[in-house]
Amino acid sequence: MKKALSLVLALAIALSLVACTSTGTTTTTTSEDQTTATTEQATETQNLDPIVLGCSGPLTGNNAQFGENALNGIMVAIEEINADGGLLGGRMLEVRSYDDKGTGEEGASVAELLISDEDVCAVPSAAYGSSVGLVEAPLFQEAGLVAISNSASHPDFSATGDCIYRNNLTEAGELQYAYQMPQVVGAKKLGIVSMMSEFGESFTAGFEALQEQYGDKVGFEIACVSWFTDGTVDFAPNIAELINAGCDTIIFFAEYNNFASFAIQYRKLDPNAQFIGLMTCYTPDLVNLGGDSVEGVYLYSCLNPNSTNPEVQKFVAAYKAKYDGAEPDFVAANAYDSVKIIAAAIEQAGSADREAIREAIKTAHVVCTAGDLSFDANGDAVKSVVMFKIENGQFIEVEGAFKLWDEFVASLS
Amino acid sequence: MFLQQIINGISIGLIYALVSVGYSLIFGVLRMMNMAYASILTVGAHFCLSLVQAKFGFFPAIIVALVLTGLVSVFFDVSMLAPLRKKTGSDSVTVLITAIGFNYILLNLCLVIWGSERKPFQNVFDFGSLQVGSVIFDSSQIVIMATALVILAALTWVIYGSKIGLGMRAVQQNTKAANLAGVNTKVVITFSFFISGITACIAGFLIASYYQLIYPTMGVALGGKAFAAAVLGGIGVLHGSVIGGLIVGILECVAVYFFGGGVRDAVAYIILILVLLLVPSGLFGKSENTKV
Amino acid sequence: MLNVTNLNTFYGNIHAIKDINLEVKQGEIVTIVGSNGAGKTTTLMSICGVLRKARGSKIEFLGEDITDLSPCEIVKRGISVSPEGREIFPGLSVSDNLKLGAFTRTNAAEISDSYERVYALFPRLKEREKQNAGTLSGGEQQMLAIGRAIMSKPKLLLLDEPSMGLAPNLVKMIFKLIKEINGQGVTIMLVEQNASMALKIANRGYILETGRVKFCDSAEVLRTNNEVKKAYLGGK
Ligand SMILES: Nc1ncnc2c1ncn2[C@@H]1O[C@H](COP(=O)(O)OP(=O)(O)O)[C@@H](O)[C@H]1O
Ligand SMILES: [Mg+2]
Repeated sequence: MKKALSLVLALAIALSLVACTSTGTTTTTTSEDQTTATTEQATETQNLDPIVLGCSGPLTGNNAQFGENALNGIMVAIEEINADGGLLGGRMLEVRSYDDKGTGEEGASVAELLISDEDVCAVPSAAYGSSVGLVEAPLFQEAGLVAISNSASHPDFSATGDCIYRNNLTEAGELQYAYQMPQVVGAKKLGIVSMMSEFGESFTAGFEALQEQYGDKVGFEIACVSWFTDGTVDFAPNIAELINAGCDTIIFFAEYNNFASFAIQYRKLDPNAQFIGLMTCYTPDLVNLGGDSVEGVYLYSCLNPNSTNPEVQKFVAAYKAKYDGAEPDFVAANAYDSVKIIAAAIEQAGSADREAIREAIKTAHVVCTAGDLSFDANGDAVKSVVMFKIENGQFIEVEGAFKLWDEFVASLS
Repeated sequence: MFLQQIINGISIGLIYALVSVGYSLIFGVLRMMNMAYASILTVGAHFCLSLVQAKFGFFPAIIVALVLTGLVSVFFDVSMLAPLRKKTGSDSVTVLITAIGFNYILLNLCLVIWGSERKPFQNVFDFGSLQVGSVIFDSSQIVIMATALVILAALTWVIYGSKIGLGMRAVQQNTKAANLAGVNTKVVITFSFFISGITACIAGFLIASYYQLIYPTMGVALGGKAFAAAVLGGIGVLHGSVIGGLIVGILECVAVYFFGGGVRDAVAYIILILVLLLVPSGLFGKSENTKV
Repeated sequence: MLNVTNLNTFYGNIHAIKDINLEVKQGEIVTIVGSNGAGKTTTLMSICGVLRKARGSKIEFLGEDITDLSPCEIVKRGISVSPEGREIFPGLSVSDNLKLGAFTRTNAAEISDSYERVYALFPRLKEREKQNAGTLSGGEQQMLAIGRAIMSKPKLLLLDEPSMGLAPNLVKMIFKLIKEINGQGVTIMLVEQNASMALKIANRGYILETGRVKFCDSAEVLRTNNEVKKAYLGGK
């Protein structure tokens, strides 16, 4: 009996560990299930080969929303381009998308699938986030297949090689805005809540390094750094820690779904503290999940859906029309832009070969939601950022909140 | 601050206790670890979600969800475990693997039907919070504690005060003799699965409304810890499970106070292993040889 | 009252009971004797529905075919058993053990009469009412097992080796009580290895050997049968 008990115990622990580390492993969708989408508009009777783009992203698991939004952004771009007659004199775009479940193992096999599929000429949306992105990047680089991440912020990502691009803020870039936020909202005692992940740890370290440098000049101090693990739903211990430290403002270094849980639980105990979220929290799902508890949250994003920029308006309108009025987030917008810049590279090269795209994208640029988009020598896009506050469930722009970094530093002394 | 953590620990511990009791109920009558329990809980919570959304009244929706979850649990027994019990070659490992299998089947069904993302769940218990000294009681915490206590009391009555409960205890002590005495063991087993299903649904509902969140893997961590709590208290022993749940809940929150959030999920298993090294049958477990 | 015809019972491939025919009449004490492993317990367990019978076996009770009924249905029909090795519920109190004997009954007044009856027969159990059954002595546990069987108000009581492991004076007392229960109108089927004692109180007896009925006759005849004497009664 005892033997049986210990066996079961070992099994239970093993199972729960597996389930904790990768919530996506139990889904029925395997990476073989693919979503192929083509537009039905066959131009005239021309029988031209389609141009196939690849996509890797979590379609199941905790970050499924981001995977889905990236795919949606791609679809909007493809439809727009195909409606205008496609590329290279009438070739239609289509996408092959695989579910990487947000795990490195699955990400690697999705990358291999895309690489071995000779139809795929470029990948406008590699895995969500830096952890899985860093697994896929060297594979794409070695195969000479251009891949763009719309969400990775880790400095090493675009440094992988000349096939790997980042259409997102770098971590250092994002830190410059994140660090301005507490100052803008007038924080005195700041609490940092961070997930124990590659991103959370390096972002926290980066934030603390900035505080080390400018701490005596800004108006806030870091009163508490509180950690949680992925999959946490009960934040009570973290909250007790933060309240005990007397924090008046909380900045949260993780995705919207964790933030929503945290905010709900925090508001019950302290309705007055100010909340700051990162770009990954800028999604309407934050409001869906968090409800009243996320009212007044400050955050920022590269995309302002209410911007008067006609490219943004065109994108947002098309996106809403296609997805039942759903609001696009920054991942969707970045993925849309990534398709646009790959299309520009294809037209510029006059070819949809992997090798041709690899050369052309270095100098390609295109006008899209991010303005005039191109990649710098590191393979990083230059992005500007807008600050928002959630009011009545809407993301309202806080105008003129951010300064350029040098100006911000100068304004401190 | 420390006191606050204890209060948090008690409320989360009572939820662990409910789930833990569910494991013990089934272990009691069948000597079997119901490894499908975590998914039954998840399915129960999702039933609550869908039925509440169907808007035919909140309480009727919850009651229908409770009954449905009870039936899922009974279905598991009747369709898979009962045929195994009849076969002579099947031992405890066969049953265990079947349960683990059913766990994954349910989990996958949840994913297919309800999707993998976190979904909002309304908190019906939000009446603000109450401050006593430095300790804050949040209203949903109070409702959770009260509901869990009421359910635990009701289960205690069923098991120690009702006729079917006497049958359950008899089956637990000596299945053969219970059979000979005229206890219909099939009915007792079915009933045990039904109320353990209901308990799972209540626990799932409480958890979902406390965190205002619902998602298919919600049962995984919870089920693991509650299972640890059940073994800790001596699986099959009702009050052992309750105390096991409270110990895990409180120590977990206290550990976070001293060592930070990262250690949280390991705490239950560390305590469990320590206790089992000292008392292999758990804190309140009877050693097996008392069974004739 | 009870008619067993062509009973065959298997444990997997082991053919434990071979073509047994038995009859018990209203009011009798019938004993089944035989050495260890002869098939006595298997016979009882076949009757009370715990074991499945091979095709062709038939068990009739009060004119009704009960061959394929479940144990609890058979208890409801009026057959109860005090099993070999007592099989009490060690973690439950004495009174809960007795209450389980009455599990198939619903009339509270009648059940409380049965309690009175059991406590009258076994005053020791009354004294230990609240105690856990596991703490009782061997003799007391045997009384509890018999008492529990009586709680179902049986018409036919099956007793499997009630004297096993008891001191001689306790054995005497148990046998006296069996007579007394029989005197109150309960038909009894008594399985024993202690053949001399059993044949003293029984009306009739069956002698089992390796799954078959070897002899079947009135108790006096069996007591004086030479072969039986030699094999089961110490050769006197
Ligand atoms: N559970 C079992 N599995 C296999 N064989 C059994 C089992 N129980 C009893 N037997 C066999 O059946 C035969 C009759 O056993 P049993 O009815 O217990 O005898 P008795 O009660 O007369 O001592 C014996 O040969 C015994 O080994
Ligand atoms: Mg025997």
